[in-house]
Amino acid sequence: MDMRRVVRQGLIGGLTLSLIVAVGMFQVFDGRKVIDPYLSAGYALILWVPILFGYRATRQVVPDGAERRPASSTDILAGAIAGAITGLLLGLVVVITALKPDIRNSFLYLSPVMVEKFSYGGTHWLGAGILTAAGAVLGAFGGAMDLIPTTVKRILATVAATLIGFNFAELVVGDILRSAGQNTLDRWIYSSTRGINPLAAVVLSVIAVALRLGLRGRSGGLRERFGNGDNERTDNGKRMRYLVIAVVALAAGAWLPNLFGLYLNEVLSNVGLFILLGLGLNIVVGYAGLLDLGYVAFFAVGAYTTAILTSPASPALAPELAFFASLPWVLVMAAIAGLIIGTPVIRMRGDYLAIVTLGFGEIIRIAFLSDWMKPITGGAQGILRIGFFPGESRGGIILQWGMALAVIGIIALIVGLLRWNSSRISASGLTDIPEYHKPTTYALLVVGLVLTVGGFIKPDFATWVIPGIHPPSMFRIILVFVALAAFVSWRLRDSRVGRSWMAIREDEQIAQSMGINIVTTKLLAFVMGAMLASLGGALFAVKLGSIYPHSFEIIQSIIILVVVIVGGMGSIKGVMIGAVVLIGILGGPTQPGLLREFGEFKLLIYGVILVWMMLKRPEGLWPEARRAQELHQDEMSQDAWLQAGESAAEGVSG
Amino acid sequence: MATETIRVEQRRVRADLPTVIVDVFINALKIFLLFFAVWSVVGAIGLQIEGRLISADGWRDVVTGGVVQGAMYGLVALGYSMVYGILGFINFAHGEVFMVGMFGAMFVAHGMADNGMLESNFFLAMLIIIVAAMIVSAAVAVATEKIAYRQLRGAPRLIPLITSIGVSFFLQYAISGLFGPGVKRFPELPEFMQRRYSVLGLLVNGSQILVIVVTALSVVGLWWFVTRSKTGRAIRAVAEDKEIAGLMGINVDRTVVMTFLVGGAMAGVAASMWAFLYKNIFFLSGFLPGIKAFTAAVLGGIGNLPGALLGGMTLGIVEAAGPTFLTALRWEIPQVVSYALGVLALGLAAFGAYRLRNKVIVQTSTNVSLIVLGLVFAALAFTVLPGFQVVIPGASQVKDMIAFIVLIGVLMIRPIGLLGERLAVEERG
Amino acid sequence: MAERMLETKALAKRFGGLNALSGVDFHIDRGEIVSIIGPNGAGKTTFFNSISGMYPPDTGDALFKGQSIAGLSPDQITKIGIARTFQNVRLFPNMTVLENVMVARHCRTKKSVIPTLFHTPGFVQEEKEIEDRAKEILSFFGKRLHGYRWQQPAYVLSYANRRRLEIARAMATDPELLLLDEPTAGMNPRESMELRELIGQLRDDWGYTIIMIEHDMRVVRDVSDRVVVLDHGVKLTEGTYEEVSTNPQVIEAYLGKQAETS
Ligand SMILES: Nc1ncnc2c1ncn2[C@@H]1O[C@H](COP(=O)(O)OP(=O)(O)OP(=O)(O)O)[C@@H](O)[C@H]1O
Ligand SMILES: [Mg+2]
Repeated sequence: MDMRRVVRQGLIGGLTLSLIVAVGMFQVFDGRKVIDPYLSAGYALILWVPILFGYRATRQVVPDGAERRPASSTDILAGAIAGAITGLLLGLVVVITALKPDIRNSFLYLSPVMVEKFSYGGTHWLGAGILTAAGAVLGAFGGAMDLIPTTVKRILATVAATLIGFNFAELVVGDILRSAGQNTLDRWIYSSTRGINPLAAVVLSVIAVALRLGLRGRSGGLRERFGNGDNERTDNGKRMRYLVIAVVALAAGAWLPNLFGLYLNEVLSNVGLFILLGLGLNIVVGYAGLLDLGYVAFFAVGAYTTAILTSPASPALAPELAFFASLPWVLVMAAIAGLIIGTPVIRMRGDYLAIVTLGFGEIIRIAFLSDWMKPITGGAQGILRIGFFPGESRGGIILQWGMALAVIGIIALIVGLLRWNSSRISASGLTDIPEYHKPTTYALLVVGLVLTVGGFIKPDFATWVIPGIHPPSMFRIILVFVALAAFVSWRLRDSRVGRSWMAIREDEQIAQSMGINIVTTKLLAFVMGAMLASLGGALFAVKLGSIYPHSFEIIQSIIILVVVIVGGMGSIKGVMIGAVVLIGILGGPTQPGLLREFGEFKLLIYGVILVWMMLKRPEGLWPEARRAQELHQDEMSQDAWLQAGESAAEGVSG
Repeated sequence: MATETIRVEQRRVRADLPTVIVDVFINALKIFLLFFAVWSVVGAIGLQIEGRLISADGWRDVVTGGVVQGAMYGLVALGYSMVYGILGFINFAHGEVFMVGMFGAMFVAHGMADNGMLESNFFLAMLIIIVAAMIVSAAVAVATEKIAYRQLRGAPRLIPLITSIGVSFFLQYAISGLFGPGVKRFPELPEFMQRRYSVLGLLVNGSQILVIVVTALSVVGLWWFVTRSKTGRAIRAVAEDKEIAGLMGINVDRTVVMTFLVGGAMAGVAASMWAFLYKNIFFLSGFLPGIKAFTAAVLGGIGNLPGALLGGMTLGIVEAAGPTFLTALRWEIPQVVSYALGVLALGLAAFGAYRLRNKVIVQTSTNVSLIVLGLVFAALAFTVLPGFQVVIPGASQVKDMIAFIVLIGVLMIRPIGLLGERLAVEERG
Repeated sequence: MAERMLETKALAKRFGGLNALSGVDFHIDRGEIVSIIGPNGAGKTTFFNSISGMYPPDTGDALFKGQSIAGLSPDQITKIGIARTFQNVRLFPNMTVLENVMVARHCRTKKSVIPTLFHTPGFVQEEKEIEDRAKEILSFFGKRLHGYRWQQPAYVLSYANRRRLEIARAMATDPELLLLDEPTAGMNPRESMELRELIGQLRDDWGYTIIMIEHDMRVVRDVSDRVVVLDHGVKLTEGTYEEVSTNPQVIEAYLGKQAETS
C-alpha cells in the first residue's frame, strides 16, 4: 500500500467533495429525488466521490514491462483510508461552518442549513463522524473494485445507470407515457415529486439487469453482422444505407415533437439549433483546423440580418420580408462577414488566429451594443417583433399543413433531383452505380413540385392559429436546416475541397507546397462555417422573436466549441451526439436542458467536461475513425516502428 | 507500366486572382486602420490647438491613468509570455488566475480593514495583501499546470489551448458558485491614499503612485530572478529547447512549475493592485483584463519579457487615450490636405501601374493594391473627404474594442510584435 | 539543344548572420539528372527551399523555362511544374496513402463547392480521374504501396515507404522538374539500389527532369549526368561524377583541411 498515494487521493477526493458542497450543488440537487424518499440526487452527486478516490488510491503506477501486483485485501484498507479522509474533509467543512457561522459572509452555501443537513439530527460532530464513516465504507468499496467479480460490477453499473437514466429522463419518459395515454404507468414509476418510486426502481433495475445479461451473448453476433455489412464496400450498398439511415432519422425527428410537451419541444429546438451551429464550426475547426473563437459573430450577423429584414420594429429600415425571403440575404451577409473576418487572420499562426477571432467576436457585439450602431441595431434594447411572416409579429399564425406539405415537397424534390442526377452520371458510363428506377424518380419530381408550389401558393391551407411560435413546428423547421447542414458537411468532407482542408489541418506548409492555395482554401472554410452559423442565427431570431446583443457573448462561441469537441472534432455524428448530450441534458448558455437543477452550475460543469475530455478522450465521444487515430498517434507509432522492421525484412526477402 | 509521359499544357506563371484580391483587401484594411489612426492623432492635435478637445488636466489624467493601467497589463502579460515562451500555448486561464488573486486580495483586505490594520499600518497591510494575492494566484497557476497541462506536453497544439479555455471556465464558475455571482467591493483606503500629490509636475493619486512603485519593484525582482538566479537560467534554457535542457540535467517539470509560479505571482501583484484601484470585483473580472494583457504580450512580441511590459504600457496608454482620439475624428479634414492626399494617391496608383507593366509577378499584389486603393482613395479625397467628419456618440462605450483593433492591426502589420518574438525554434507538430 | 529547364542567377539567401546561399549559378536542361552534393549545412536544402518558394531568395533570380519564379508562393511554383520531396519526410500522417497522393492532384483539378454539393457528372468524373491517376502513380512502386496499403494512414508506413510515398505525392502534381532531397536517406542498400533504378525510370519513362540532393556516392555515380558541389553556400565546382570526385577542392570540403596536410 502506497500511503502517500492513498492520502493524496483522499485529500483530492475531500476537496472535490467540499467543492461540490461549497458551490451549493449538493443543496440544490438534494431537493430532487432519485428514488423517492430514500435517495436524493444530491447524494447521488456526492456518493461516487469516495468510491472513485478509494479506487484511485489502490491504482498502481506500473513502469513499462513491470508486473502488476494482483489486487489484494490491503486494497480494501487503502480504499477505506482514502474514503475516510475524503469524508473527514467534508466533515471538517461542516464543523467549521457550525463553529464559525461568519463564514457564510464569504461562502454563500456554507450555511446553517447545510450544517443541519449533514448533522443527521444530531450535532455537527456526529455529522462529521457519520461522513467519515460513510466515506470509509464507500472508499473500501471503491478499493475492492478489482476484487469484485465482473458480473457483479456489471449488475451494479446497470442498476446505477438505469436509475440515473430514468431519473434524468423523467421529463422525456413522462411525456412519452402520457402522450401514449399511459398515465397510470407514469404514476406508477414516478412519485409526485417526480422521483422514482421504490417498487418501480426495483422492477426497472431487474428488467435492465435481465436485459443486459441476456443480451451479452448476442451483441457479439450483431456486431459481426454489422461488420460484414461494412466490408462489402460497394458504393451502391453504402449509398443505400446512408439514404435509409437519413430518411429514417429525418422521419423520426419530424415525428418526435408529437410525443413531447412544450418544454421538451423547446429543448429539442435548442439541440437542433446547436447541431446546426456545431456543424458549421466543425467545418472550420474540425475540417480545416482553424480554431475560431469568434464564431458567435456569424451567428449574430445571421440573427441581426433576419431581425432587420423581417421585423416591423427594426429601427433603420424595415422591409418586413418573410422569414424565408430573408434567408438569401442572411447568407450573403454571412459570406461577407466570413470574408471580412477571415481575410486578416488567414496568414496568422494558429493560436493568434484563435485570439484574433475572439477579438472580432467581441468587436461585433460591442459595436451592436453601442450608441454608435444603435440607429441600425437598436442598441441594448435589441430588435423586437421578429416573425415568420410580415405583419405577424411573433409569428402569430403558424401554417401547419400548407407549409408542412411544402417542406415534404421540397424534400421529395431534392431526393428526386439527386436520383435523377446520379442516373445521369451512370448513364454517362462513368461509374458502375446502377440506375435508379426511372418512374419513381419522375414521380418524386412531379409530386415534389406540385406539393412545393401548392404549399407556397396556399400556405394557409388548413391553418392552425397558435399564439406565438409553436415549438413543434419550430423544431421541424430547424430539423430541415440541420439535415441540410449535415448533407453539406458530408458531401464536402469526401471531396477535393475536403481533402484540401484536411491537408491544411495536417501541415499547412506542406499543403501549400503540394499546390494548395491556402488563402482561398481557408477562406472557403470560414465562409462555409459562417453561412451555417448565420442560418442558425436566423432561426434563433425567429424562435425567440426578439434579439439583444447579450445573446451573443463569447460564451456562445465557447459552448459551440465544447459541443464540437465533446462530440468529436471533424465528425458529423459526433457533433450531433455532443449537442444532444450537452445541450439536451445540461442545456445551452441561456437555454435550459432536461435537468433544470443544473442551471447555475451548467457552466462550471462545461469547464470540467472540457478539461476532462481533453485529458482523457481528446477525440470526442463519437469521433471520425481517422481523428481517433490521430490523437493516439504516440501509441500507434510503436506499431509503425514494428511495421517498419517488418517491411525492411520484406524488402530483403522480396 | 507508366510509359506515358506527362501531358504538359502550356503553364504560365500568373498571379493568382483570389490571392491578389485577398492581398488588396488586407492592404485596404491596413491603410484604413492607419488612415484613421493618423486622422485621429492629427485631429486631436488640431482640436487641441483650437481648444475644443480636452483640458490639460484631462490629458494628465489620460497619461497617468494609461501608465498605471498599462503597468498592470504588463504584469499580467508577463505570465502569458513566460508560459508561451516555455510551452508554446496561450494559457487562456491566466486571466482567471489574475481574478482569483483579486478575490484573495479582497478577502485579506477585508480582514485587515476589520481589525483596523488597513488604517493604522497601511504599508504593512498592503504588503500582506499583495503577498497573499501572489500566493493565491501562484497556487492556482501551479495547480492548473499540475492537474491539466502537464499531461498535455507534446499533444497537438490546439489541445492545451482548448484545455485552458476549460480551466478558465471552471475557475470562473467555481468562484461564482463559492462566493456568489454578485459584485464584491474592496475596502475603502485610508484618506492619504486618495489624495493627489504632485510628482514631476503631474498630479497623481496616492494609489496610482503605489501601483507604479509596486510594479517597478516586482519587475526589478523578476528581472533579477530570470537573469541571475539558477532557476531563471533553467527557465531560459527550457524555453530554448526542452529536450536538450533535460539532457543537461535540468529538471524540466520543476522548471515549468516555476514558470507558472512566477507568472502567477506577477498576476497576483497585478490583481491586488487592480482590486485596490478599481474596487469592484466579481467572477468575470479576469476575462477582459486577461484578454487585454494577452494583447499586450502579443503587442510587445510574445515570449519577450521586456516586450510584455512595453506592450502593456502601450496598450494602457492607447486605451486610456482611445476615446479622446475617437472623438477627435470629428475634426474635419481640410480641403487642401484632402486634395494633397488625393494627388499623392493618384501618384502612387500611377507608380503601381508603371511597375505592373514590368511584369514582376511577385509584386503583382502590391502593384494592384497601389492602383486600386490609390484610385479609390483619390476618388474619395476629391469628393467626400474634404469636410468629412465621423461623430461617434458614446465613444467610451467602444473603449473595449480598441484593444482588439490594436491587436488585429499589430498582427497584420507586424506579426511578431514590437520587440519581436523570442520563441524556441522547436519544430512543433 | 535541349530546352533549358531551370536556371538560377546569383541566388543568395541569408539567415541572420549566416550566408546559407551566396551567388549560386545553376542550370539544368530538360531530361537531365543533376545531383547536388556537399557537406552537412552546405546549403543544399536551402537551395531547394528558395527554388520551391518555401523561403524566397533574398537576391538573385530563378528562371523556370525562361520565366522568373523567384518570390512566387510554393503553390504557384508547384502549379507551374516544380515538385519536391523533403529531407525530413513530411507526409500528411493522418491521411491515407491514397489520399496523400490524391490531395496532390489539387492544383490540376478545379471542381469546387457547388459541383461537390450536387455531385454533378463533371465532379464525379474528376474524382474518378483523381483516384485513377493516384492509383496509377502508386503502382509505379510495384507492390509496395499497393492494394491494402491505399487505405492505411501514412503514419503506419515504414520509413522507406514514406520516402516512396513522398515521391508519389510529388509525381501527382504532374511536375516537369522534380526536386528530390536525399531520397535514399535511411534506406537499406537493397532499397537504395531499387530506388536508383526507379529514379532512372522517372526520367526515361515519365519524362521528368530531376535535381537530386544525395549523400550516397554510389547513387550519385549511378544516376547523375552531372554533379554540382556546394559548400558554405557557394558552388565549388560542377562536372561529371569522375571530374568532381577527384577534385581536390571537393575532397577538402568533405574532409577538412587535415586531409590535405596529412
Ligand atoms: N530556417 C532557417 N533558419 C535559420 N537557419 C537556417 C534555416 N534553414 C537552414 N538554415 C541554416 O542554413 C545552413 C544551410 O542549411 P541546409 O539545410 O541548406 O544545409 P544542407 O546542405 O541541406 O545540409 P544537410 O546535408 O545536413 O541536409 C545551415 O547552417 C542551417 O543551419
Ligand atoms: Mg539538407
